[in-house]
Amino acid sequence: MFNFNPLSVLFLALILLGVIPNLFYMSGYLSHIKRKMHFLIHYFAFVFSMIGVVLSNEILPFLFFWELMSLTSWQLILTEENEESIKAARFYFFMTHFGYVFILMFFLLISNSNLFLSFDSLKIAAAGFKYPTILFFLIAIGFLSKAGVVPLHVWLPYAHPAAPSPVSALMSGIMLKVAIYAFLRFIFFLPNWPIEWGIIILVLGAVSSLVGVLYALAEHDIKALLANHSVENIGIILIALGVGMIFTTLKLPLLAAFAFIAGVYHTFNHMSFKSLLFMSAGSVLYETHTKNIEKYGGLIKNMPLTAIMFLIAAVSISALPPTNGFLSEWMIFQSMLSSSGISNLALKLSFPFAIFALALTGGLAIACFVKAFGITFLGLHRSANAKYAKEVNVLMQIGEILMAVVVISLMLFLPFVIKEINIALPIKDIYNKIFPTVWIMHSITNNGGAVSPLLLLGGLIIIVAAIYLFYKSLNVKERIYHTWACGYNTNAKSQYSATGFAGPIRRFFAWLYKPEIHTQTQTLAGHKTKFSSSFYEVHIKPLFEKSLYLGSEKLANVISYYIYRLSHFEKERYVVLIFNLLLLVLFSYRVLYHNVTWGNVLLEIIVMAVFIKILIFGEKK
Amino acid sequence: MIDYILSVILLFIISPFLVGFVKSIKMYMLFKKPLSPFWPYINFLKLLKKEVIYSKEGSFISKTAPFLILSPIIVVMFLLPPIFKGSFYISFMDAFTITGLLSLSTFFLMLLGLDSASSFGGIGSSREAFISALVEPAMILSVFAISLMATSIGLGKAALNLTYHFPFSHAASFILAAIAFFILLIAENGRIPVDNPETHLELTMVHEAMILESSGVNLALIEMATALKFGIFATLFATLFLPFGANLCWCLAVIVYILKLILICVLVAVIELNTAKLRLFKVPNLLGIAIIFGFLSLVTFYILGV
Repeated sequence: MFNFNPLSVLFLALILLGVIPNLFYMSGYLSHIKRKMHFLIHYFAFVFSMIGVVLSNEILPFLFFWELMSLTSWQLILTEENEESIKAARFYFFMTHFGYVFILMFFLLISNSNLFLSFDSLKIAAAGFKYPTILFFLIAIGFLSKAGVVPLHVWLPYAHPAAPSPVSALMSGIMLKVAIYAFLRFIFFLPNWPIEWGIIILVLGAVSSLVGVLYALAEHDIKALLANHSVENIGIILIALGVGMIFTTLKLPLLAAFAFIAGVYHTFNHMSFKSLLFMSAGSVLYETHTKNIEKYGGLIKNMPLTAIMFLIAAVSISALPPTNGFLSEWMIFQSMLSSSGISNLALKLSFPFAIFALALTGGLAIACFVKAFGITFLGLHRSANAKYAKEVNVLMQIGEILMAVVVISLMLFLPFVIKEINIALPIKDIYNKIFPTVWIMHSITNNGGAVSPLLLLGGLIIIVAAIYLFYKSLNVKERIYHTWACGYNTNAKSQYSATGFAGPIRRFFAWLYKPEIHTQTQTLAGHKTKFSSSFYEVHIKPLFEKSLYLGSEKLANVISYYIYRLSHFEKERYVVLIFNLLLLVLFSYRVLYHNVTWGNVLLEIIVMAVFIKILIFGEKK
Repeated sequence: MIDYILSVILLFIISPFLVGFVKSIKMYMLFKKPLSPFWPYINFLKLLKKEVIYSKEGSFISKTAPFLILSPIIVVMFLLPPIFKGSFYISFMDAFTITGLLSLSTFFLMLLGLDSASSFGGIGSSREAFISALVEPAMILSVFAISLMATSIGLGKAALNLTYHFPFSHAASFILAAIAFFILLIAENGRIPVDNPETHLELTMVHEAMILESSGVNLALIEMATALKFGIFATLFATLFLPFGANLCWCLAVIVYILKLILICVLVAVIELNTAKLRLFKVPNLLGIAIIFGFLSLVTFYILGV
């Protein structure tokens, strides 16, 4: 029933790395939770179900644990019962089961109605299946909807902020990775991937990364901001996997292996820094009791440790060297740069667009995390809540520090991590090509680049130390004084707000955001320039939610309206309905078997329409 | 090894001169009495003697940020392509690392702007975030294009390949990439038309707004970082997009290199004089041109084939 194959063990390690710091953090956070028993039961069940998903080697256990994972996380979102979390939980419940239907269909199609089939025989069954494209789409929709890929990501920015912070860290850090695990596991069951599959995954990844970071920038709820960044990072992972799939199809196994390793390495990295970000954001939330980023400010003075942890994670997620986030993004770039060896010109030309998307994502992520860190931790306190915040309790601090250790060790022990990933995946062994020596990581192609995180880190530390010594040797006089505010007092209101910080970007991408701006100004004695109070708020409704989800909701409403009308007819109307159906059968019989001329078809359609209009709907009242 | 250290020191010494030189050319062309091109050194020494004032509203970020702004840029100086053959050691690292390190420096610069609770700092950070987000894709596309032409992603090897076997069949895409990179040189170093380094007006400030609260040694370190960044971009342009001279004997190669840097300075100064500063929301158009040129360079390269 369970199997410790290399891929499972790799993701088991990922889960354990994420869960152990989280346990400390959770026990510190527990005092904030009212229904402790309910929370603890579901928390541990959630952790065990994720381990179960990763280790199970038969269909039924897999499905059982998958469903358990969904249900426990659904209950965890409901820990604090308020209107917002109930709505989020309902949405999450629906979306996760929407994906579950596809997963179930996938298994039912190939399992031959034997749900105790082990995955090894499932692999043979999948290889023999006649229509692999159907299987690919079932896998993609089923698992990637859980991973939060555009356009199936809409539940994510609602569900993750509604849960308590340790759970958000688990959901964003680990649950999404379990979905990536399942996708990887089953995509390797299918033989001979057509080129289109890889392209679909690449495009989905590129779109997700851009959409995720753009909505993160416009967000003011710190946890929703981080949740949107999860969409972005899942996108980056999928870019790598898509590139890997394309190279596999093109019979370039070395390049494919490099891209897959990059994707899985980024999965690890995202687990580490996203957990750390959610933990430190959770600590801020724990102390200030608000998720609104505009109400923070100056927290670095009250909570220095949390601030430093957030800073480490922010530098890492912004893909700045020499952190682990940079290293995985570097690998993804390198694998995309190797695309110049492809002979298909159209495919070759499409790679610069993916590179563009990834680079723009990186740039916007930097902007977003400067905003998140700067507005939250720097400057003056923007509210009384922020002013009276204290550093969190020791257990939560231990959790954060442990997670930061994971982040840093993923960078320091890069060769080891890469080696483990390479062994775990069913790809060529390229470890010796990437690391001829453990100090320098090489790209897989002959003329590729190279990077050495240890050298960069060492260089940075040495130079900072040298400059510091230079600074000390000067013996400068230091004085502390107020910030110059052009003669006015420096106060919290005159600082830049998060809305203002993202202003230029919001304005540039206005076609995407379509912001609703509410302003209210009370003028003084009719002078437009003088006002006693003013109010400015920008509201952004995600495009996908608006068009895709609300659109289909509207369509369902229209259809149900007509069905409702149909079901409340009198007897005569039903008779007429049957008469019309009879007519339809006769007409279609005539058209299909005897005379197929367009004139006849048109005439019959008109006759049908007239009967329906007059007899069924009647006159408009 | 000695060559390597000497060329790093050369770049370190010459960078402030370049910034001062651009300024004095501009003044000369405006019929003003030109400032000495060695003025940045004088300024640097003057700032070292002054006392440092820290903002009461700030935190330890204000104290550490100047170090973290300068140090990635100094690391980049060790990773540049060679001026003459064998002069750089660690130039196997590629342009992504360099882009990343420059972004790391900008990241802390933006945090410094937000730290002192002044609205000027916020203005500067916000604008810088906006501009650098759009610079990043253009940078990576043009570097990708040049590394394809040079058949190497590692910068050192790329510069040497370009010097020895210039890809004449890909001259079109080479020029497109060069234009894209030159726009980036202007945008990243806060020059007109993207930013005006000489005014302290809230409408136009980007870079200056972020460092408004820094003083004394801290300001000196940040100004040093700015000058070095200009030197780095000028060196990258000189070695990758003006690829000649590196195969000469070392003394001639260094002279050619310095001449190239001076040429770049003159170009920058002339562009600064003949354009007005763009409104912030028009800057994306300029950077869009850089992105499009990067794309076009790649497309022409692919269509012409290897």
